[in-house]
Amino acid sequence: MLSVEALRQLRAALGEDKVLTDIEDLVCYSFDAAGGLGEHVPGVVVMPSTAGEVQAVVRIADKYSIPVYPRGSATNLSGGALPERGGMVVSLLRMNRILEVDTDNLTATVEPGVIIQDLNDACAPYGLMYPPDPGTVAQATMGGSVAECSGGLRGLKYGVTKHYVLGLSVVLPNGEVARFGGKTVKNVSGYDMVQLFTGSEGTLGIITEITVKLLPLPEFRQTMMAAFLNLDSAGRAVARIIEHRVIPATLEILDNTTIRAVEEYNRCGLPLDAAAILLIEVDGVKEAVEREAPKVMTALLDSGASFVRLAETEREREQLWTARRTALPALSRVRPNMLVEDATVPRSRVPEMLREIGKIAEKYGISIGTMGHAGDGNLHPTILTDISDEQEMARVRQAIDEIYAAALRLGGTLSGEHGIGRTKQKYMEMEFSEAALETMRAVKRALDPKGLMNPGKLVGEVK
Amino acid sequence: MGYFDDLSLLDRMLKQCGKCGFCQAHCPVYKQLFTESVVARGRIRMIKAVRDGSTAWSRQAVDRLHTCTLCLGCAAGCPTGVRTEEIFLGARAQAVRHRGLGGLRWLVFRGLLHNPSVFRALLHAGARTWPLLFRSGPEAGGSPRLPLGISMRRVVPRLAPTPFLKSATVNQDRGTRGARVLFFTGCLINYVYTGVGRAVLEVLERNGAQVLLPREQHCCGTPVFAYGDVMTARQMARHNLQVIQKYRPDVIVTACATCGSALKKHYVSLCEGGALEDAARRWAACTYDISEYLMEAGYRPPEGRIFMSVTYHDPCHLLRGQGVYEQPRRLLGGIPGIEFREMASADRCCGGAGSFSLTHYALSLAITEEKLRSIRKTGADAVATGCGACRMQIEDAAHQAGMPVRVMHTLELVAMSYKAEGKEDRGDERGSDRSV
Repeated sequence: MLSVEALRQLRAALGEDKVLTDIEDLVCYSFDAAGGLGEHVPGVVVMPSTAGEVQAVVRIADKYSIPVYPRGSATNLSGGALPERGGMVVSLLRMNRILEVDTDNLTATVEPGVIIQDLNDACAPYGLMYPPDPGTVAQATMGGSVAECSGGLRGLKYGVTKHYVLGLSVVLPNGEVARFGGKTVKNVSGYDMVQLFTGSEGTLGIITEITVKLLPLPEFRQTMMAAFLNLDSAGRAVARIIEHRVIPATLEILDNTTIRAVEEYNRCGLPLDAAAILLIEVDGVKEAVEREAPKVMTALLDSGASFVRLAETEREREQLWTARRTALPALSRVRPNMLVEDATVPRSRVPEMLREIGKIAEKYGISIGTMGHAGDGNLHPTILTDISDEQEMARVRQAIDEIYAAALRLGGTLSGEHGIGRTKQKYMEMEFSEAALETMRAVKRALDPKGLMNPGKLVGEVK
Repeated sequence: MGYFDDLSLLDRMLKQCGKCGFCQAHCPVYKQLFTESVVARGRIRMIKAVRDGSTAWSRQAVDRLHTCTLCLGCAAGCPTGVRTEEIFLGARAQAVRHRGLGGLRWLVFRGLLHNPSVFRALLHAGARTWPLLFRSGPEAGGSPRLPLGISMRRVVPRLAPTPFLKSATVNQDRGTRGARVLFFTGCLINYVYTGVGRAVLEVLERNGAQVLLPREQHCCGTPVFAYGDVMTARQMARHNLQVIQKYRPDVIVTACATCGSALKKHYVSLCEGGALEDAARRWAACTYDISEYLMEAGYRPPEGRIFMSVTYHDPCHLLRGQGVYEQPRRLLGGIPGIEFREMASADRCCGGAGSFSLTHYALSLAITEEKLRSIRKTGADAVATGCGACRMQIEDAAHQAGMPVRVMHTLELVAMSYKAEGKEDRGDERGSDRSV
């Protein structure tokens, strides 16, 4: 429980309407988009609209030892925004100004509450884009996606959030503001704190300003789809595309369970007997794309694709994308709940990983549809279940354990883009040595000695 | 017994919300307030909290429930297909059962709307006293002279001196061969936008329909069940269904997005398990929005030229409520001389939402601001739409922003074009009689 005095000070610092204490509001902050972690009602929600107000609330939290939970749109899938110890949720949605689109230096500077899509809409008139595009691009905030280091569908060619963040302003757990990095592409002054805070999941401070790199919008693109009767030929196709030295912007894979769910959901004519479908998009300068697309088609046919299609019109492109876009909605209708994981392996091990997932699903008698970013090895085994069925959930939890063990065995990592949060903490020892984990804890202790900033996430409770 | 009577019927639906947050991108209210309790996934969580007893239907809970335009954007954008409209309407009904209606609403719903003849008499009196209560402002209406419980700067359209249903006469010669079409006008067309009523009548008759205009038809009841007063709404639905039964039309048309939704969907839910369920279903299947009806039944495209640039605003209850998207655009596109300009985010709620604009005026106007920005960018002379409430909201906001744009019903433009046939030499129609 928060003390009356702490609440009074929060109200004095922000004004009544930015401090929510009604239970009707608080229950709405007890969750994020990750499933199966229970619900945790915070003691208070504050909605600062300036960096100064963020400082003020962090200082009050420090003074009264209140746990602080920074929150953007809370669309993350790892439990990173859950206020597990009650405390104070800091919603940054009212800090939503795009401060600058610098067309000379190709940067944009934004407040943390800006929605990714809104930044892209602001850049498009200048022929520019901010490439990281998580599936929640229309909901997720810049602050949240920097804190979680979001990926997206274009990771193979364009990289992920961390490849675009140039500068940050951060309110540290003691209430001080620090600025790191800037507008320059090259910057090796001091430790790379920008990279440290990117993906820190709100455990080290609250990001209040972000400068990112922009790229020119690709002028042309071509989209292709291919179906394969077995996973190995799909894997071979991915390898061949890379052998032809083509780096597609998008290289997505859907497994048979997903194909069936999509076809059931919106009859778009997918082959139900296919073991996998690949969706490929190449983009860039028109002349280059026109040379790359045929190479991709050749690679697909040479690898034994049972059918291939190239979109000739924008309408056909939309049709090809429908399967991928509707994969999650389609899967979500199969059972009451859906748990989306993000085990990631080196690109060459994708077929093996898909087979492993299939075996695990069979072993535990559960349903898993897998789609993902075949190009960068980031897969989304999606478990279709009913979280109110305790018996089934016990099997689901064992299956998830095995999926992550398999990903690590194949030389991969626990999380490609969703983050560790709470969901994957228990596997950290499988991926990291004690020395590595202790290094992370040392960073956490140094910056947040009281352990109040998003406590319990990523590195766990640190004493 | 449907969700209006028993919220527990929707427990499975409540569970189906995966809390992914996709609704955030589609919620006009959330885009203004940024609090989770007004966006679907949060509000659903709050309703669960009431259901599991962690809170009651408190003043705050009811406030969060009603800080919503029922635009159905969340449902349209929901990857798991949660039917949020049913959840919110069901919850509002439950809240009324627990807390009652409150004085003013009790008076309006149970005292006025419950009884069609009392309601009619009061609005007739209102039309006469309108000039006493409102300063006359722009052509469409005026602002209050006295504090009437609404914002003093608000521009309210004038109540027509004579309601449409009282003045309109069906032309017996024109349409005796075609289908028997019952025109369900709704309150806004009957009492305020009577020109829309005349336009619909004109267009139907020119296309050979036998138009039925029952004077005893009553308010569709949407403001009543949208607040949660199921008892009164059911009474109103019963009245209207009985009127329709009496006339036995081939089809029912509406020119109001909200009335259309009520007849097509909500009457069925209100009457579920009751004596009128079959009638509600039968007539729901025969109900069409006027644009939908013309496209489906076929119509003679008008040939009179109208030199205007026009954009179109999708009313929530027409687009998401009834799936009507192409039809009004095709009607507009078929009018010679009209230059159609699609606006950005035409499908985004205008913020009006009936009594929401009375109870949350500042918030509703802030939402309308976004709509005005889209309209302004098109540079169009007029905005066509298919809902009186949207029209009232956009007219008010445009007037306050000093925007010269005209707001019209799609059918007014169609009727205008019919009337301009054979008058080609008259040229610019812009200055013509606005009441059509």
